Amino acid sequence: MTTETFTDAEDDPAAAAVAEYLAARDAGRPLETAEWLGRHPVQAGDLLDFLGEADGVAVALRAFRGTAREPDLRGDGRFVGDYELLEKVGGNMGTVYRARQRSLPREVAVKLLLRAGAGDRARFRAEAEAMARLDHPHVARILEVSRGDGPAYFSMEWFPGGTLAARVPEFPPHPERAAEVVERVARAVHFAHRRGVLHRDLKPANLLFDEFGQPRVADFGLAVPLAGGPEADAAGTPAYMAPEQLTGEVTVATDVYGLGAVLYELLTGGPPHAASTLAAALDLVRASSPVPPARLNPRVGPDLDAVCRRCLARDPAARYGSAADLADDLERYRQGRATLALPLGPLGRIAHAVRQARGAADFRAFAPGLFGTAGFTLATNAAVYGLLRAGAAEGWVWAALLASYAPLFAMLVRDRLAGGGQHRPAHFLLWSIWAGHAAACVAVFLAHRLACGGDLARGFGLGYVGVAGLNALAFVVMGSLFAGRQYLLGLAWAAAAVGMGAAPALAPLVYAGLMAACTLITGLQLRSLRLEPPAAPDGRPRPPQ
Amino acid sequence: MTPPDWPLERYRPLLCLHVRQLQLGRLYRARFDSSDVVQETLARAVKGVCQLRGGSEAEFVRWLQVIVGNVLVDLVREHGAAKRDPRREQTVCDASADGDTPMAAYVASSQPGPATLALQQERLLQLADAVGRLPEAERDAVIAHYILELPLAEVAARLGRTEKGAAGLVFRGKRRLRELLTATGGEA
Repeated sequence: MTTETFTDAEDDPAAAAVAEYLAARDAGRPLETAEWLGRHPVQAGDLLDFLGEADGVAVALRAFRGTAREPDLRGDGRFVGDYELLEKVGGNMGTVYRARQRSLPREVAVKLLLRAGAGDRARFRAEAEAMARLDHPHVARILEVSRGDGPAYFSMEWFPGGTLAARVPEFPPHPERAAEVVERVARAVHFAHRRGVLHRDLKPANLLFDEFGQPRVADFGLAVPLAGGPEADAAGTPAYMAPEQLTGEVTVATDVYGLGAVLYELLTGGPPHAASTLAAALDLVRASSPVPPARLNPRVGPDLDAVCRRCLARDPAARYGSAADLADDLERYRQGRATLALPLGPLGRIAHAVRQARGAADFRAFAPGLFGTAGFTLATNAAVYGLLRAGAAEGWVWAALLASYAPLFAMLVRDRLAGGGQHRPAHFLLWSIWAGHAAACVAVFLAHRLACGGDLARGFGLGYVGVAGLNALAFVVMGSLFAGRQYLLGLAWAAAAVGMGAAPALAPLVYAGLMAACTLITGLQLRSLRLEPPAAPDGRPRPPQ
Repeated sequence: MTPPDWPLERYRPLLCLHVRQLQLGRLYRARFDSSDVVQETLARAVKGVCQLRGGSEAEFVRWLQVIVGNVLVDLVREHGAAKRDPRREQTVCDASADGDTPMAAYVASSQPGPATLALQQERLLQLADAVGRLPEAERDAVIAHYILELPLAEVAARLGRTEKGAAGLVFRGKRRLRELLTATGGEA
């Protein structure tokens, strides 16, 4: 320590400016950076370098502080303010405990600051303030923050539902559930962005479930103001980090990446950059893109795969512009609409609409019955043709015709009984369609029969033409409600109606063949739908469908 | 004598930083010369190093940390020979063994921390070396400000400077450290 160094340092023109800045920070009245720099124009560049984190020096040095000692929960150390700490449950910058409040009969989560550096306290305070600004149904609420010089802590709502990290294995078989959870979280994150808070550490371990199975965003320990500042440092969890987080240039896009990383883990069971060592994970973040989720999990469709990959784009500008945009796209996906992440041309839209199977899974139990129905339909309608050719009595024709409606009616009745009086919207719609269709068909047959007078064969033949038209409508309606492929069947019926008009005498046979084919195709399609796996064995509430 | 698995010299900068950080922080009031502690620790380590062959690096660094604690206790005991104070000795020993020291941080950095970007061990050594190359006053200012995160008034008090002087040292220390790290080819 030479006098020379001493004098030099004291006389450095930057010294006074730095002293002013630090003293204000220590006094709890931090200076506006821009205004402060403006008052020291000559040194502004150097001062910005000093505050800036582009070199990572300050963050790197912080690593030498290691980890502080935690309170002994068996001794008096477990009493902090109004709380009795029960067990450690996690946390990174501070440590989070499940705790019992002493003045009120409730459990809370208490985050304790184990270090007492000036910077630590400031960051801890910033976290509490960030949370206080966010009153949202999907964000964990802060309850109380410590005052004075004692141990620094704050208490938050306690969520017994555990973290999303513990439930990751539930999601890969259900991509649509993953989409729903991430959609909700994305809305909460967007809310935080609107309030000027960037989370920076979104990952399944920081998402909690409340007792209603709803996700809650927690742990704002790395949150920074969106307005940005030179003090934003390189931080994050390597496996979930966006490439730009290595340099500290974080924006809304960084959280969009984090949401994508959560979605990725829910779809594939692992984070985007899984590596056995920290160094390897960082290299991956820097240099490579994750394996597309659809390649790791065949249940992930191309649209959800595209949504996820758009979030994880290495270039922040190529991601969604906001967390709300992501939420909207996930909503589109859930509703079976085309996503922005996978733009479709006119043909693509048609293909997408045809591939959709929205409510079809509800009727999977119908598949075996439909195979029998196909045969029965073929037989009864062919019988109508035979009876008309043979000139049988009209009563027999009507009997064969009406019998063809029986199997589907029986299946609907059985399904209703199996439903046990529950209100099931999709089943209600199917009933309505069936009943309306049956009534209309009978009316059409009757009308043509009356119009054609004595010519029984012509009357029923034209009746079939009309009914083919009704079928075209019924299948298009079912296409919009249950499964897109029914649209194609609807088109086939429209074409068949024209064909039947050309040769009304053969109409019953054409009808018999097409109806049997449609029933068979529908049955096969239902059978190919995936079986829902049984409910979670531990009976925990699932995030709602 | 077989060469040790973990060359002692490799850890000298880390050890220097460890001791200096203790002296500016937790052991501010204890009287000892930090370079004496480093020398004595290395001397004792050389004697004992053969027994420690085959262990992990973490074990080795933890073992060094224990030696630092012993050396500190001995020095404090020597200094206050007239009135021995077991509680004080315990404090000194605990301070060195605690988690919030560079050597403990080095051991812990092999397990990735959940949030803050932990540095690889190689980089911690490089950084400790760079800190050790700073002029003493700047080095102390950097330790007190960036690692101990003391308020400016406290940094000034521990360095025996005015606040303006201390701020100047922090400012220059950081700038020089950045230059040193750039020169050694690793951006921190």
